[in-house]
Amino acid sequence: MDIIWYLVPSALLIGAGFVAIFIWAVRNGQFEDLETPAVRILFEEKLNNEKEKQK
Amino acid sequence: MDMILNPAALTLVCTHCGNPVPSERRNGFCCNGCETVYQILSTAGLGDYYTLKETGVCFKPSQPITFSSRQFTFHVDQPLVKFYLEGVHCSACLWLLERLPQSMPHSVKTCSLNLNRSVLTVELVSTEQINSVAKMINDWGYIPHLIADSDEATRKIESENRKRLLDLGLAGAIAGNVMLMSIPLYSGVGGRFETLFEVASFVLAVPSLFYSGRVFFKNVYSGLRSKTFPIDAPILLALIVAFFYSTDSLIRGTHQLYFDSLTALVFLLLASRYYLARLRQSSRLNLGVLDFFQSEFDGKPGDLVQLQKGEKIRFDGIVRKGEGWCDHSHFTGESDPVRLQAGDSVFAGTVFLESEGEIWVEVRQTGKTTRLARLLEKVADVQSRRTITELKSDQWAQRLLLLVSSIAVVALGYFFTHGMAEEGIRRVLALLIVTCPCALALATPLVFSLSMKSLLKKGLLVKDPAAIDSAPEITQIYFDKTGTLTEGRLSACVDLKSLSTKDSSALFSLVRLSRHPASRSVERAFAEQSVMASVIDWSSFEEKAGMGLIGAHPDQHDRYEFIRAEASESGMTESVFYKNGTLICRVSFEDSIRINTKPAIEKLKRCNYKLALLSGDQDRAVEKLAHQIGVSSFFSKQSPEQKSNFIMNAMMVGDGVNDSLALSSAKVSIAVQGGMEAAIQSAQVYSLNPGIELVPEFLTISKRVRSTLRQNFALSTSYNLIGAVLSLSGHMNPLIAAILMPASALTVFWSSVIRLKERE
Repeated sequence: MDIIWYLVPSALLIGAGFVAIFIWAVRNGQFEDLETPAVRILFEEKLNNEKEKQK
Repeated sequence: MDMILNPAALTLVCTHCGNPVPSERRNGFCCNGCETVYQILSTAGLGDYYTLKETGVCFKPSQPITFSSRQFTFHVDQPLVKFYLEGVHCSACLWLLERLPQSMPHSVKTCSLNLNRSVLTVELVSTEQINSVAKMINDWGYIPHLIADSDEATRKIESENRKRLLDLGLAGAIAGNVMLMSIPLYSGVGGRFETLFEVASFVLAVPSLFYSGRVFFKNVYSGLRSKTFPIDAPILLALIVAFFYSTDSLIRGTHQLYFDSLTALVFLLLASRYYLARLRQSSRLNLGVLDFFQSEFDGKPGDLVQLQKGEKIRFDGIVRKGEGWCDHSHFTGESDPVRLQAGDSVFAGTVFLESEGEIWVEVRQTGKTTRLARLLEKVADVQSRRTITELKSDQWAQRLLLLVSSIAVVALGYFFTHGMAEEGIRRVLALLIVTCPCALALATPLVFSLSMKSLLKKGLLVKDPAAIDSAPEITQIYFDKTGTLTEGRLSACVDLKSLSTKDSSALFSLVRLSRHPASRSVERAFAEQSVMASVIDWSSFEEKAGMGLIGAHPDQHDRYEFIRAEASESGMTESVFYKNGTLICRVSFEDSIRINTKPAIEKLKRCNYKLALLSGDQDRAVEKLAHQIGVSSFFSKQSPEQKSNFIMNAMMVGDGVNDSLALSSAKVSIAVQGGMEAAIQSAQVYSLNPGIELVPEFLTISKRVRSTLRQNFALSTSYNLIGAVLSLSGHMNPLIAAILMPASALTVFWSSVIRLKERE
């Protein structure tokens, strides 16, 4: 059961890692506009198809 | 004349903007602007816009916007610029605007649009190109307004949002981990491991309470400083007591820890507040679009300026030379053009119609000293005087807080004197958490935000939620006339079919050469009555600005005159049509009633509202309109100041700058489209659709809001009552309270959401 002495801190470390990623994402503005990218991705797909057709 | 037009004409929508095509246009576009935009897009190979538009998602109701080609004089220091665009409404707009770098590869590096906020961020190749880019955007049918990046308010909101999200994320991560730590504790792990998990949850709880939860400390501190009882006080008290009690028992080894309840409470509270704040922000719109008045006129007092036909005047001044006609309808509500002579004043916000020859005006006032700007300032004054409706739920929450705090103190005293200190702390802690009136205090703004959002979807932009709050008490509604109930443009009353073909051709040939509103309306009458007329090439044609038109027929040497008559007894504007000095017919002009006016008035009458007309126009014109739409009471010749006296306890529906004083004095005010930006600024609610169509809708929703608020009140009161009894009698421990409290808040939230949505 001594493994818990290592498991608990490492679990907290992994958690802290995800918190760090979250902080980066917020600072980077990933949560600023939640609607437009969802719409935009549909157009890009259509454009790629057009380009492939042109090839 | 029956004012309800042929409904079939309504089914025709503009190929470009989707708004109804006026019956006199037959090419499938509502205005020349839309047609031009269509041609520009088609030739640029961007015709896909129209296919995308049919299948795409619509984000906002599309508003009719008059497109016109114009030059821009923006100036920026940085290549990264932001525009607020008028007219962005659907996913096809996104596609189109993000083709900007392909269309102008030498000017634009990258660009991205935020659909929700209608903000386009453009990275320019060099700063000089901003005006050509703005022109391109304008040519595509969107009106660009440059947003100064130093806009303090917007940046503050953005950084505030990020901070909140960070706090929330951290609190969530901690709450989850502390829960994990608590599982072994609850399942009875003993010895060294118990201490490990206890210490770990203590270490995690510290940043949750003192970093993520610092907003509670702040709220309580600022509440106490302003000498009100802060709503967060019992929550903060509970959090602090729980923290120190748990820390104390950790040190003494009594295993009474509440770190799990504490972190969960912080997370759930922050989450519900973040959700609320975002909802509230999304129902607001950026309306800082008054740059028209301040930025685009570079003249200074003393300059002599020549006015162009159709120009919107941006300064106050005095006519020095020449004569002409000016449209004051946006300013005074008067639909007749006003004659200008040397010595007359012109005002910012009016539209110059036409002149005989050149007209020169001396600039007197610009920017913030114009009459218009001062009027706007007065409006702002009225607004600041109006105390914000103190929400009843706030007062109620305050009373509840005081009650709960006194109960808590009495209970604590009782338990301590009866030797149950530990049990007493547990029970009072549970009481403080479970009776927190946060649910009610937070649900009230949520209800307003949700109703504002659903009103926006319908086409009503709510600037001030107090309007929704007080609308159910309204019994009297006043309507402005020009532009609100009527189209705000002249229409000619004349039976063209009774004229001989020769005469009607002569009339048509005369009016088509003039830009005066009266002439335009006669020309429209030809289209509306489907009268065919051939065009005569006049051997001589003369337009006496605003007075009349004279043409001489080349073959028959007949002389036709179409001349403004003196105002007749009926109070209506009239013109007379002469042939060689003999009268052929009289043409009277009136402002036609909007198609949607009558149904809306009938709906309101059915709901037993008292309706009245309030207008600055002539007696006869107002009386006639009141009679036509079936409104019995009316008040004519009202100055803006008189208007504002009427309506202290009533609802005002109007538009135009002359209404803005009235709008801001009214208890509830709605500006309908067609008015200027000033009306939007002064009214609490702004209708994106022209006419009063949405007024009944607004009143229905406001009533629903009130009943939802009542329901929330009942729900949260019974919650608190049951919770208080259970926790004082010792049937509730603080952890259950910490889960129940946000859960009760969520039930209140969800019941509000469902109630406001179910009958949409």
